[in-house]
Parts: sequence; C-alpha cells; structure tokens
Amino acid sequence: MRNVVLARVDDRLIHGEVVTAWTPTFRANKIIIIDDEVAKDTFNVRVVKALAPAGTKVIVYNVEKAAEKLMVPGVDGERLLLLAKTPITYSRLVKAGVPLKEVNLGGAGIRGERKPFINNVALNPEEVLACEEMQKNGVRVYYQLVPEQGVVEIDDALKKAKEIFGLK
Amino acid sequence: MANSKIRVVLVSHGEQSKGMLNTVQMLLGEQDNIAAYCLYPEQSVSDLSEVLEEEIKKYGAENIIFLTELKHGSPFNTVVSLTRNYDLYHVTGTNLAMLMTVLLERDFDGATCEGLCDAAINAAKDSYVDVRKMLMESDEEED
Repeated sequence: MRNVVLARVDDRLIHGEVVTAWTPTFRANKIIIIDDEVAKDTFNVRVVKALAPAGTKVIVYNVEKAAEKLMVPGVDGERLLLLAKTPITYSRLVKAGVPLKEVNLGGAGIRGERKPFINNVALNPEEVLACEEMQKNGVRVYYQLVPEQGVVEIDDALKKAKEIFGLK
Repeated sequence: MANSKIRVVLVSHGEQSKGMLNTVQMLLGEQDNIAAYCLYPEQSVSDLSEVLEEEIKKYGAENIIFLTELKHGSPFNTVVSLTRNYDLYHVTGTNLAMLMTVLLERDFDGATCEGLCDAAINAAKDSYVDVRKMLMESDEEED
C-alpha cells in the first residue's frame, strides 16, 4: 500500500485548512480527492488540478479507482493526503480492502438529513453507521479541525447520534 | 467623478471586504461601481454564490473583477466554482495596494479587466517587504 499520511473527511475538499495547516504539517506532496461525482466532473477535475497547493500534485479518483491505486507499492518519498466529502467513502475503501489506520473528520456541513455530530461536522444516519463500522473494523475515526487543535474521539458522539437517529 | 466602467467586487471571510472598501475610500475618496460581500460563519456558501451570480447577471462577467482574499478559502472557492458557467476575471490575495491600483487604473483610457488583473498582481508583489531585512541590506550597500 502507498504511504497515506492523512485521510480526511472534508466536504470543502481543498480549502484553507487543508492547504495552510494539514498539507505542510504532514509534508504531503500528493493530494488524492476520492469522490465518484467529482471524478466525473471534468470542470471540477480541471480546477482542482490547476489550483494544486504549492509543492503538491492533485489527483481525483472515484472510489473503485482509488481502492486499486492505493494498493500498489509506494514510491519512496511519496506522502499522500486523502480527501473525501463523506466517511462513507472511506468505509467503502476499507471494505474494498484498503487497510486505512485512521480517518480524520474535519468538516461536513449540515445538508439533507445531516445533524450536528461534533463541532463543524454534521453526519446523516448512513454516515454515522459508516463511522461505527470503520471503528469496529479497527480504523480509528477521530475529529480534529486543524493540527493545532485537540483531537476529539468520536465514541460519545456516536452513541448520541445513534440515539438521535434511532439507530441500533 | 467619472462612472467607472469596470466593476470591482470584493469577497471575503467576515468583514475584511467591507473594511477594505471603507479604508480605500478613506484614501481615494468615495468610489462608485464597487461592492463588498462578506461570508459569515452562519452563512452557507450557496447563499454567497447566489448573490455573486446576481452581480454577474446584472453587470456582465466581462465588466467585473472579483477580488478574494485567500487562495483556497471559501470565498475564493465560491468564485472559482462560478467559472463553470462564466468567464470571470478573478484575482486572489487582496491587499490594499492591489485594490488602490485597480481602482485608480480602471479609469485610465483603454483600461481592460485583463490589464487591471496584471496591474493588481504587480502592485501586490511590490507591496510586501520584510522592512527590517530591507533596511539591513540597504545599510550593507556601499555609498
């Protein structure tokens, strides 16, 4: 598997916090956006590639392609920062056999069925279950907005969210 | 004051854009054909996108220069996403020198959005300096 330094959920994808805080902190040199919709959208792909943060290359894959591309042997010095709009994407990657160790919840705005989960992260029932499933499979899912701020483990929030949504 | 043909639209996180507009008018006097939009924490990006699209529909993409303050910030990303449907002039990294240059030069004969974007970038490049280092380098120079 290639060297993933951070797997982050952030529905703004490449934006201020990722560029000014996470990318330099983890010395990431490749940002991989994993999203079925974005991968299909030629305008979006062109824009994110053209606006790659200094010192990085941006690549966009759908989930299937990402599962395949992440599992090839890594190249020396390569440091991948993964970005997805929803934890469901990472849950799908894990199911496809990608052994992610950690998933960082960073930003997910309230829309559709989403309800506040932790701070600026809101999740819908399916996303809550995706987080729980990853935890059960040994993937540590945690909340952290920027590297300077503390980590929040999601166990309490998971319990609460399951109650709110009436999930078992 | 002549009515400027080229419109300047400032967009920022919080009130930077309003503050810039206020400050630049203190330096250059009252300005016409300029707008400042602020993205507040409780506001969604799609709301901002809507009001910016209204600007474009009303004034025409070819007559507006968008100035955003932070590359990859939400205001920047919002303007970039509008380039899906419009051919926009957009410079990011707004600072006061840049804004003053654009506002002064937009009234020149033959001013174009393209030319003003170049002027904006050049003004910004000239505007940031580590003054302490500059003074030390100047001291080292021979008389």
